[in-house]
Amino acid sequence: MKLRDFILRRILLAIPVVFGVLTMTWFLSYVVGDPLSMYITERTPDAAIPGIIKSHGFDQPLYVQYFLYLRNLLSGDWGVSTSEASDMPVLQVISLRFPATIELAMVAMVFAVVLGIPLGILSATKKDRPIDHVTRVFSLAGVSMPIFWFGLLLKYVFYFQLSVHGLPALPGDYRYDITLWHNLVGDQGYVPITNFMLIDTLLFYHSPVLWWDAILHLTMPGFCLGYLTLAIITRMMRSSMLEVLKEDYITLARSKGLRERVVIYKHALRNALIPTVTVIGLAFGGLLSGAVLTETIFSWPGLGRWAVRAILNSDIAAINGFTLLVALIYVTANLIVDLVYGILDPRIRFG
Amino acid sequence: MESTSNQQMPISGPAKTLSYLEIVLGIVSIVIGLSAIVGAFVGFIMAATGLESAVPAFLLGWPFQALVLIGIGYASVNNGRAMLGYDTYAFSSSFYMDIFLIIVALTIGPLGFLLIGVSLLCIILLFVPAVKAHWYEEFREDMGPRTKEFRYSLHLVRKSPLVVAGIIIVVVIVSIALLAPYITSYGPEERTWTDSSVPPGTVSKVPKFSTLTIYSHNRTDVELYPTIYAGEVDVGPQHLQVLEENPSVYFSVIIQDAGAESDLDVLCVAELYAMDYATFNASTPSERQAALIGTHSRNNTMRTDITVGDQPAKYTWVVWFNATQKTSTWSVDITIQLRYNYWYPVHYWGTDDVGGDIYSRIVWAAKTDLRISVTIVIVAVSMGAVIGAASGYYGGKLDELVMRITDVFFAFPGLILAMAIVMALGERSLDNISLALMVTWWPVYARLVRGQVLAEREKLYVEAARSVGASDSRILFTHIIPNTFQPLIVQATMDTGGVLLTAAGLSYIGFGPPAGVAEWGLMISIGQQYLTIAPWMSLFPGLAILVTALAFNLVGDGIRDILDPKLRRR
Repeated sequence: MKLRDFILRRILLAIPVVFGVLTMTWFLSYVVGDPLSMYITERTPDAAIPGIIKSHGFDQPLYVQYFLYLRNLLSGDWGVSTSEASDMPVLQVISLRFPATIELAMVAMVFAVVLGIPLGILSATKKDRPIDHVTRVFSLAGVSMPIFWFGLLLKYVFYFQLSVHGLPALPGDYRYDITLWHNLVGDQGYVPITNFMLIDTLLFYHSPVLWWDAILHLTMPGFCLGYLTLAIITRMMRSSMLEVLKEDYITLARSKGLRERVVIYKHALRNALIPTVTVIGLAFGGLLSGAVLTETIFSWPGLGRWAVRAILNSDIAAINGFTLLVALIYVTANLIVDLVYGILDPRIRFG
Repeated sequence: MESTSNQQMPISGPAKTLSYLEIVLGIVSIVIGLSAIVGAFVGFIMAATGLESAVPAFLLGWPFQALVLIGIGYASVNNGRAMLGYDTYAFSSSFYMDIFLIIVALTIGPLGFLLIGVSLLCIILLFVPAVKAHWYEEFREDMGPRTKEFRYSLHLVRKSPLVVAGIIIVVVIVSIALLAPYITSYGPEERTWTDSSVPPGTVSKVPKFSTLTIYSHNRTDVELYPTIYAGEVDVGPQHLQVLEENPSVYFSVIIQDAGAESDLDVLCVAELYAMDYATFNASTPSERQAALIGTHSRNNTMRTDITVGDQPAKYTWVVWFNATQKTSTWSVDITIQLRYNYWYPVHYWGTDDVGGDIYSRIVWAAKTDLRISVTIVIVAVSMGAVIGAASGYYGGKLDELVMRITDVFFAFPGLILAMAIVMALGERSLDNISLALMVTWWPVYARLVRGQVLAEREKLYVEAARSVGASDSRILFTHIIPNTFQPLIVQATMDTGGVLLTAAGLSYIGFGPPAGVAEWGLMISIGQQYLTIAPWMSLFPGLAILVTALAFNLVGDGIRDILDPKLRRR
């Protein structure tokens, strides 16, 4: 198979998945509540209702409604979310909240990669020694950790206990310190520009103090969210490293007298990284949807918290919006990983 | 079916008994499963129409296990019939099925113990020498190469401290869950209001005690009183074993107006004398007065207790009334109890905001949480295995369709889908969480089994079975699926931990049972509000979740490493 055909095939395979998700959200919107509420809220003026019903085809038979639903979604009309302070189009909410979630996921990923890969290498090179057991328990604990409890624990120790004892504490709520912003910037507080705190504070507000504040606010939720991914990466790194270390070329490298450091970092690590990178790509999609619990605990104004609130309010437009977004990200991440893998490893293309 | 396993030997004795027992077991499982499903259905309709449910409680709450039970029951009946026709496969198959049935039965409450008993009996019968001769030799020969492999795996398990630790923790937690009534001082929803939010290790202010009802008199018919009631209390050495406080005699006298009178005015008096009943009857009033150790009087309704000594002795209790309005008609409800073995329980892990003992609640919740996670995994595995096996075996359009559906499920954010399903089902409860998680979890197993089946489908033994004319379903269920067990079991073990985490997470966000139910996620969620003043409220339930999930992961991870040929040491 040529590379072009391979890419084409993968993209074509992704299309039915996206349609499946679209169909399922449409189905769910009928089961969970009334799809009308996607476009009509309590605050919609009575006079406008018949027009909305007509323009969105809610007076048509069901199968026509399905196609109209698809048309609306594809044309960017994702309905109105009622889970924010005021009614707001779903896409607008996403554009406001998505950066917060991405920023959190990025930090979590940095934690996971920076700690996970060295731990995995350590564990593999010292297989079955005490350090390996400790690392394995540590990474298994990450998979077994109830993330909501871990968040509470972090908050209790690094926020509550530290501030009770008068020590500098890590902030445990929201993306930034509101009073600090009022003091430094003025009454209007933070006005999002790119909505990435780390970028905005440096480029537009030119304030290292605010930047540091944003970093501090990111630390706890980022680590909390990243621990699971850290655990997955450590395990993956360990097992792929173990596999690579059994290969003949490693034996050859050792037998020609190379130092162990060179063997591990130059020969083994590069090859062991390939499956780990795949896992990292897939885990990123998982981080975005896994932020649901973390954001709830740390009052993070991101997508996850919005989704939980939307479900508790039966806010169908928001549930559908969130689901579609996560599904799209998942499919895209999968696609990219597949493609990168296919380019890196020709065996997959021909297999 | 197979010519090799069909031998013309008359089946008799214990083997025949066993075959019939298997058939009976199968029929019983099917009947129980069906009645549970019908029960759930009737209960649902009654709840919808607002009627009081007439379905016995032991039939409710496990509709999904019921489906699995029906499946096992069907297989069991088939096995029993095949055994009568002397099919060695049926013996080993019923061995596996009985073990599976025991695991399922552990999750369904009182009725399960009946099934466990019968399946244990079947397993014992299978290993009775007369029956063993029918199948075991051939079974061992079949399993020969695998047995060697298995022994080696066991050897590796023993050498891996993490797996051993995991297995020990799982066993300990399961036994804690089963022993919950015996190792806790409080019930799952019991409250001691005076002990709210006390730190770990505090001794309760309210004692617990055993009771012995000496006299109980519940008259609802209208009668003209006053009357005098009297009797004997015998405090023996068995009532004096725990003496943190002396035993006492508890009087509960509830007087109700049975007629139209509303301004009832009855004085009731309770007395306790340190003399036995015979002496009391023979004594003069002044002698009685000298032996009086306590008296209480109140108008209309009285609840009181009178403490007695710490030596074995006999006492006489008396209750009498003095009604000023002789014309009134009233009824009385008297209960006299001996309360003994007073002790002050320790709140080892503190209490919550309403005085529930955290330790007891965690132990009780272990039962709930383990039960739902095991149930979810069992049902998801069964569903996924059947769908995945069919998809892999038949291939073609069916396969394509199933794989696209699993793709969609993988792309869907699992937690959100589960929440949406719970919302769609209407009521937030553990059962609905289970159902939601079953729906979101089966694709994992469907994929896994499909992959395995694809690999097995082309192997020689399947071809052989096909060539002797075995049916598709027989090839699939007796030949292929048993060969996909290994990875399935590893995955299921690891997922039990994951399911536990997800169910607790859902319950934490507020999709679980109402406040007050003992469930780990819910306990953390409530404890969160009191994090700064009572951190133990959320600390200990979280530790329980962590340790349980960790144990399942340790076992699963370790077994996977051991079974993985690439990592296997030689």
